Amino acid sequence: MTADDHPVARPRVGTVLFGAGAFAGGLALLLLAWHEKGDTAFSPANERFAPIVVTGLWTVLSALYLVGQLTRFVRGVAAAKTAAVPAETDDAADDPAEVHWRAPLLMVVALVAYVLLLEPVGFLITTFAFYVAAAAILGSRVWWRELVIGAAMSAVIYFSFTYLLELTLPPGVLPL
Amino acid sequence: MANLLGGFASVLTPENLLFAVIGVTVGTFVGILPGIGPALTIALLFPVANSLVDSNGQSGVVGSLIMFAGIYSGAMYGGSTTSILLNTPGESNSVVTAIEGHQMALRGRARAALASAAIGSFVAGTLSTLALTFFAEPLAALAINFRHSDFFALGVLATVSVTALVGRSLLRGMMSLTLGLLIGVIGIDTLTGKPRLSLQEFVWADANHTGVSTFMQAGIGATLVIVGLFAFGETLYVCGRLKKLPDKIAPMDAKDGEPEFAWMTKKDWRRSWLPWLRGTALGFPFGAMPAGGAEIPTFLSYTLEKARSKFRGQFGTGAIEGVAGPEAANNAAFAGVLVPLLTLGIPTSATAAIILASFKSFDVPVGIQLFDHGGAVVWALIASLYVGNIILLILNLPLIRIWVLVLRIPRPALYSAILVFAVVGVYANANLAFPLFLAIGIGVLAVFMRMYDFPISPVILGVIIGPLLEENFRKTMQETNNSYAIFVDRPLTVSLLALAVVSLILPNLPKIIAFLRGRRADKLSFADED
Repeated sequence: MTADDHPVARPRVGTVLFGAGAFAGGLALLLLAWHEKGDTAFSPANERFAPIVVTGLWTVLSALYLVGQLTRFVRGVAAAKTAAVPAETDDAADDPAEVHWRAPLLMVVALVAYVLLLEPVGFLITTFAFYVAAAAILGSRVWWRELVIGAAMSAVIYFSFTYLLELTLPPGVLPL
Repeated sequence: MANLLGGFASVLTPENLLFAVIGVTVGTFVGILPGIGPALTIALLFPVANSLVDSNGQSGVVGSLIMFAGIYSGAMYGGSTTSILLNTPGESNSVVTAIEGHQMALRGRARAALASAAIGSFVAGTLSTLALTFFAEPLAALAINFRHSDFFALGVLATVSVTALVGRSLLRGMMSLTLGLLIGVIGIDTLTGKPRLSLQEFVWADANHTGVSTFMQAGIGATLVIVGLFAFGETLYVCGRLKKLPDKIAPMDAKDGEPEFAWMTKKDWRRSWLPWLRGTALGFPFGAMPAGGAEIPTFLSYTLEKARSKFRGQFGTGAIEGVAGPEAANNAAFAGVLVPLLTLGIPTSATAAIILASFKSFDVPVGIQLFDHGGAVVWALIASLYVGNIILLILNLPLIRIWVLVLRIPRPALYSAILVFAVVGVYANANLAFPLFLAIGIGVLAVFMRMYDFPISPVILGVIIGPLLEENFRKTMQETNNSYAIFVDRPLTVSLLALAVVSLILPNLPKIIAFLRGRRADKLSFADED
């Protein structure tokens, strides 16, 4: 197994936290798989073998990843103290880990609200509201365009799914 | 030949022709759009396809599979348009096309690049479908001698080799694959009927309260995982990087002094036809290998054309051979990918994996049984590829200006619509809120995977091939009384497993050699699917 080799040399706590979460999750799933095994004999031909092998493999791989990231982090911090870390260059502008969290967090909140309200309020209203909100979060300032698209799209999807494809979408509060 | 003619008779009915047109049109559309690929599109259309199958039976199955195959091949065509005009591949296999194609576009030769890509795709698509027609059934017949240990080894080879090639770190690739395998084992065990990792021990997940445990026992389907990883994951990631999106489309119009319809000149034809044929010759066999995919042959085709071209000096500034060869390889690989999929039931890309899931969902067998018992389906599918290629040529040459408009769809509208379709796709499958929360959770995980450079497609392969691997492994163990000896005794099994080990080492060779020489180098890697 090769050591992990992220190209950016700056110390990054995010990868360490991600590795720690992956390892903790793997360990919990491994314990769950072991608990489910109970008194069943451990045989490669029975149904308890694969969950234990796969969760075990995940735990080992995530441990390796975590150790790799921790090592990089410690080295990065040490190098930063001696000013050996390269200053941010143009390349850093394309760093895939550079994410501004406000918009994604707002979008997750909008998605969760959409799913929670989908059945009680109904598909037409929630889809329209979600579409407009999502477009605004994604930076749209042409509000009339989004209102028109949102209304048209939710109506077309609802009526085509319900009447053409005979698939159920929740009507909610509207008398449909 | 009679079988193929029967397939054409089936495809050329108005209903199936309509499915073919819908498939290739939707495929071209999603191929052009960054952020949505064929795997996600097919996953989102699952409820529609299931509805068709429920109401039309066998003809619904044929129609749905024709539509799915059209989406896959259409996306290959559409991806080149985005590569050439926007310098951003609409789908992963068009990465190489962007190198020369966009340079040609910047020099006022966008139409020639688009035409060479479209005609090359047509030539390659037709020739490779011809190869599929002649090779698929004999290969499926060969597989009749395969035992469970061979299928297990073949599955290992397919998953490991794809994982080793995508992404820059083997560790991160293997973690992605293991995540897919982990999701794949959740649910009722198909051989014993016992639930696994289904949270049935937890009160909050009990069926009487939330339906969570009941849902988990049915297993987390590939559709949900694909929607989570590609639709929610991609959109959330884009949300956090809005300022980094490319938005400059190269002009389609010819430069002053050139004729208005400056498609391909005689010189362009002379420079393109051999790269088309060479690209086809590379794409089909590579696509048919267990490592599969179009990434390797497109890169190889580019390198080959660069080495052979009389106009080597133009490479990097817009050489038409650099568009013609890779685009042909890309489309030829698509028919190649169908070979292991149809004959062995082994998918070698995320899109092939979701098509395999649709075969299972529609109770269509794969392998020799497909040709013995599902002949009408498979020959109609193969015939639809010929028909689809002709439709795609029409869509991508005279109608190219319409497709360019697709690139002008505002990003907020595009990504908001993707999210709405994703929610509808998942909800219509289960009529339950929990799968949507799960898909959003997978989407959030996918954001971190994108940030920290974890490849996405091995997760899909793991989810779909994982259960096949386990089933064949356990049946092998049952046949041999839990003896592992067959994995070192049976020549075919050993050879396939040895190839899997080689495929793990091979992409790391540049790194190993550089290390031995005291230098640093990256491992060989190719673009992930979208």
